[in-house]
Amino acid sequence: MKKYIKLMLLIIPLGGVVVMGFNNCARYGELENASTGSSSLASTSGGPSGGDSIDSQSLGIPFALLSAEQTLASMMKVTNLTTASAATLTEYTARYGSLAAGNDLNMANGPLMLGSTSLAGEVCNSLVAQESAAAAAARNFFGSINFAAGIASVDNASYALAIRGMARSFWGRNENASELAMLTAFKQEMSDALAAANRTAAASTRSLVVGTCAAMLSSLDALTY
Amino acid sequence: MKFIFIITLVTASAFISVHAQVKPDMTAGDLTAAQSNAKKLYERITGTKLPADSPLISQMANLIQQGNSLGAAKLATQDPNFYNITVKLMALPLSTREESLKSPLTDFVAGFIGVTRDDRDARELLTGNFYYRGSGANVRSDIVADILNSNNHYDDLERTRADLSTNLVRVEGQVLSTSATTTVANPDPAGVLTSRGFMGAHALMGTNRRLVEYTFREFMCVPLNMWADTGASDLRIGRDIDRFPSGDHTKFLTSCKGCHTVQDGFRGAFAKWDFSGTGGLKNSAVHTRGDGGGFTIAADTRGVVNKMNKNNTVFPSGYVMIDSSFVNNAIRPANAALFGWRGNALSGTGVKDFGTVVSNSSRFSQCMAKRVFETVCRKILDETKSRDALIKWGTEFEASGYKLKSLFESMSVKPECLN
Repeated sequence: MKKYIKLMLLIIPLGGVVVMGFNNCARYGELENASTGSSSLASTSGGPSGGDSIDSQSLGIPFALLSAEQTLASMMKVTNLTTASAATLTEYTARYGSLAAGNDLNMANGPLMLGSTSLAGEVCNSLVAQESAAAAAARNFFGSINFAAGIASVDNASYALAIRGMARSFWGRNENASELAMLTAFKQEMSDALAAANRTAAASTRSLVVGTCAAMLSSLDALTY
Repeated sequence: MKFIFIITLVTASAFISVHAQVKPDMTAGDLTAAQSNAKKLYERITGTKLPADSPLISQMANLIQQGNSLGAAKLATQDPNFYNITVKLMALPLSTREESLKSPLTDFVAGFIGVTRDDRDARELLTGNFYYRGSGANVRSDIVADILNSNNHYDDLERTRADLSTNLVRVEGQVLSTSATTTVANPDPAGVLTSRGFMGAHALMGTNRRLVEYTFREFMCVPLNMWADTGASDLRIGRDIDRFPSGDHTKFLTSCKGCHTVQDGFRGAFAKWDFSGTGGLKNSAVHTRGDGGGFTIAADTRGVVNKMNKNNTVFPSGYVMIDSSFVNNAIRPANAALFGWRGNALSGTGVKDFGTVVSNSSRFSQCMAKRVFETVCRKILDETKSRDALIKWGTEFEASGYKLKSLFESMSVKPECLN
């Protein structure tokens, strides 16, 4: 009897883990079909896109998620980068599985956001490397940033200019007040978290800009169209 | 002369705009309604985001305000991402059994992009004798080893992120490999239907029925259950189909028969094709008969591949395939109205004839219009509600000379698409 209870205690939670967990490994359309009890036989289900459900399109929602390939192409386009670096391509290949397999908004999930952020980080690395190597006047995004000085030198006004440039390119619009406040708070928190000596190190400015760029480039406004 | 100069200038300025570095205007306000519409139009056509300060937005917005939305769409289709992203992503799900966007680039997809870019008649996709290949420093390009017997060539194009809008080159005349070093002309070329990609997906094992099913799924937008017809002739249904499933003949008559009447009627078109062994794509007219391994094809003395007549004891009185003829059993009223057959659509021989029957139908044109609508407008077309519109768009597509690029441009500015 004791053995039986022990067995049940093991099986019931395990069942819960199996049912509730690992869903990101399933094909979205099939997962949805399974939950509604409808057929998931791709060859006879009749949907033009098979397992890749496109519910947001059926609903006529005027936004669509960028698929994996679109995500990389868009990130390159809005940052003015013409060639993807080796590191970017490696990251893209590694994250390809978690990026969207279609344009349905319900494909946006945790792994997709993490994957997009990682990819955006590499793209932003390339962008910052390109911009910091150019004279301030020749830069597209970060003309207001002094990459030779530490984060302490980045005042709110010059930081706001960098945000404005990225917002217009990545989101296609100006940032709003709450977005600006949130990003400015991020800068302050990052600065506060550093030891005083590190706040004057040039690397801290680069980290701030790459972090801000990656956050903006992987936000939903940058991943939808 | 002056005209040529102006055309050159306009083309050059558009090219520069498409490829230009965009410097954000830090002092500008948000986009106007016309600019927002222009941006949306660009993003739908190219499948990629566009910075708010791109000079293309102003150019396109001006054209839209002048009532020339089509002109604005034409500017967007000059962007390489129209081919590299939008057309490619439309073709990818059509190329594999999984119908996923996350499918590899193949000769099928390259053909689709090429036909669109070169403004060719889209019916060539199912009837033409051509293929598209690329080039590049790190792109393996041996015709036998890398194009016919493997997907190395197209994998490399993808890996090196080749610009498909300029890299792909049309090659007239499809070929098949008969050894590790030799090729022969394809005896029955039919565009992407006889591509390695499509045949590899659907002629691999099985009974070649999938080739018919997926041709109709992808190029007619009709799943098998939608065109099944239990009232059509069952004369062409093979011997491998049980007429008494679970001992119940009624089940065959009311269920199995429906799909097999139409599917098995057309199946004969692929009687001489197989995909197996090292050689991959094979046709019994040019490959040596054998067990199907290496460069041999498993076919009978008439050239019909063995799998077409396999499991012949299930219902020995069923149809025995003896050649590559096919009959169109989708001609009863409901299917005739759905497909809108034209020309000699009742029967034919081989894949090229099959592709001709399919691509000359009005449904093919409507399907292309539907696919383009859903690709650029980002919404599903409800065929029941939009039946008249779909017929109209199909007719417009045909009037344009079956040009896919024009279809993308015109579809993207339809009120049904923009609203």
